[in-house]
Amino acid sequence: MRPIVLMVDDNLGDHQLLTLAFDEAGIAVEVRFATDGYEGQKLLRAMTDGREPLCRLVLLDLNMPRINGRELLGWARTLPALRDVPIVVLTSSQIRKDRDDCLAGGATAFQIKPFDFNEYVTFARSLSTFLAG
Amino acid sequence: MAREALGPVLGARAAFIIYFPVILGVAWYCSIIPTVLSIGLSTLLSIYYFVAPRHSFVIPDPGDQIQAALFLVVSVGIAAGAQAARVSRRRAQYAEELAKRVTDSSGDCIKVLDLHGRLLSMNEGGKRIMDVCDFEAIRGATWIDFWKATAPAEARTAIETALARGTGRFQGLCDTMAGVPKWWDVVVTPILGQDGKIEQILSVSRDISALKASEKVREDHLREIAAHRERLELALTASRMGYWTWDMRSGALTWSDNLEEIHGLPKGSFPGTIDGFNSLIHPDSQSIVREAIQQAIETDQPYDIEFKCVRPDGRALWMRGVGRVFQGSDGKPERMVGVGLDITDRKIGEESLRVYADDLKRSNAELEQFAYIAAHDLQEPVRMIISYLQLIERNSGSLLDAKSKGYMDSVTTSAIRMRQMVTAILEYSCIGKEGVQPSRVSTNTALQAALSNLNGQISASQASIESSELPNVLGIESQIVRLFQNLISNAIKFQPAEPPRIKIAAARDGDIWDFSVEDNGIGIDPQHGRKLFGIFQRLHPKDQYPGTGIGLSACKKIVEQHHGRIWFEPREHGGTTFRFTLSAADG
Repeated sequence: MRPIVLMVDDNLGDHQLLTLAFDEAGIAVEVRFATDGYEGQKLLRAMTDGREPLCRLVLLDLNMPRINGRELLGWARTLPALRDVPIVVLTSSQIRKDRDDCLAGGATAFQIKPFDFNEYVTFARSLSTFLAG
Repeated sequence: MAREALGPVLGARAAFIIYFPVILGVAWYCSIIPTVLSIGLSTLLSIYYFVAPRHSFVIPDPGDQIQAALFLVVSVGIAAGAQAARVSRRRAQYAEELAKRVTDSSGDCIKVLDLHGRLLSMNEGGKRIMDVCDFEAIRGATWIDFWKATAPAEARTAIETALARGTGRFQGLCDTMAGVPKWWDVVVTPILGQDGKIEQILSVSRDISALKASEKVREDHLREIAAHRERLELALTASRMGYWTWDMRSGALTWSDNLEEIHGLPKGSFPGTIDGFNSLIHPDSQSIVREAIQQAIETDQPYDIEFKCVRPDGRALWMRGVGRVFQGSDGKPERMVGVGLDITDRKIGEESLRVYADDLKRSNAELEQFAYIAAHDLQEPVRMIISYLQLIERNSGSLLDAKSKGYMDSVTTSAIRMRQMVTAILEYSCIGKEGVQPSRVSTNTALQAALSNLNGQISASQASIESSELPNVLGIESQIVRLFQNLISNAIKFQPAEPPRIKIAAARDGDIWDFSVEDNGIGIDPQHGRKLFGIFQRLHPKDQYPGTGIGLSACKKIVEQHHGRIWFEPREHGGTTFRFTLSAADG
């Protein structure tokens, strides 16, 4: 079974680019999407309840409607079932404070969104370490 | 012999009568002792020469004894009468002399006039103060004539009053005989004879020149004070200022007129009490005023405050109050004196300036925030455009003809440029938003960090970079790294052919360090100076020298955040020197 990657991002273009980048990098994953923090929370709750298979990795945008990435991160880190799931913050924010806050708040890594598709592919490759095993 | 010679005339017994005139003479002119001696001697001589037996002091005959006793009685009678006359004569003489001495010693000019007002006499003191050398020259002159220039009517009235048995009195100016003008206080009275009729007129003039002079000085002073006061009031009114005095014992608070006007009160309506003043102070300022007065009383120091007042017409009134306490002789606060200055215009000016500055600050912040948000939100679509362009190229590139491929390239180039600009704006608007406090920064370290960031650019251009030992400054390290980085990057970029040579140095100037970044590049026309540091200002076409046009504006923003200055100077043999200042971090 292919590992599941959950992307929580309100930008639908990123959903497609991520899928294409994994394809291009030749990494076999199943990518699931949530279009904002609220949807992401719903899906994660289903995954931790055992109603859905648990994802191997979460890619989390920060600025989203309803529940934003910071709030979702805080909530997710209270769930024991997600303790071992890496959460990578993927955002266009270049503010240093965001980076520091996210890392202090339990994010596994902080990544500025790739500027173009080639960078996306590179980024997808860098995620393979989280997906192995 | 004498008796024999006189015998036929006087008879033997009467001859000694000749002694009586002698005794009378002695008693008239001499005192009592010579008189008694003369009586005794005359008696003895008479007995010795004229009473039988002659040449003897013995009087055997009883008739002769009676005669001698009679002689003695008559002699004593004559002497007593003569002595009494002498004493009364001496007394009268003394009284007269005393009167003359008194009048002569008097500092007043005392004159006796006849009933026609002609001058009869003048005391010595009067002659002195009137500078009279020769009284005879003015004896008989008409007294009124002395006054005809200055006070003829008063002089005439005074004489008439005296003649009517009254006392005439006036003050007037009259020259002395030497021509010195003097002020006189003149009293004219009648001199009555024994029979009660007016015999003569007495005029006593007192020199009051000194008094008049001091009176004049005093009047001059008062006039001068009044003039000063008028000018002061005018100046105070013109500067919308008034003064007050608070008698702390009686509680009376006295205001100058213009204070009422400043407070918009009808003239004379201020009650003159501290409560009346308190009722004019705006509730917001009550405590300021109360505490200032309290402190002035306690510390004996002047106070200087600004407070808000309430005007009856509802207009705003801001006052500046300056005052201090004065202590009485017992060391306790006695009164408080101060001025009130209407500073409403200034306050309104300050307020509108503050509002304006706040507005400007807010609008600047809003603009910056807008730029940040716009740039931030533009990043997403730009990323998407570039990424999908790449995907199109990847999937369908081979299907496009040469023309369409060219169009694709143009779109991609524009999108990439847009991304650069968006990134530059974000970086620019993030300057000063790091939330980092200024600290001690080694500019040596900052420069090394900047050079390592520029590693690729430096090695590609074969640039040589020299720097002297650089100081420590007060600042934000990341910004100072960016400052060096932008300036050096510019110096490398604007270089025509030869390898760039860049020199970095710093010189101390008081509390600041004056940095210079010198290059041998294309130079800058000084007329572009103003544009150079503006955002998105480019002096060259971007195909010639690529860039966003934000590097130097970022430098300017960084230096200004550090309260420094940045400017440039053309170098003599080509190239440019950029200079900027940063605060020194000592100790």
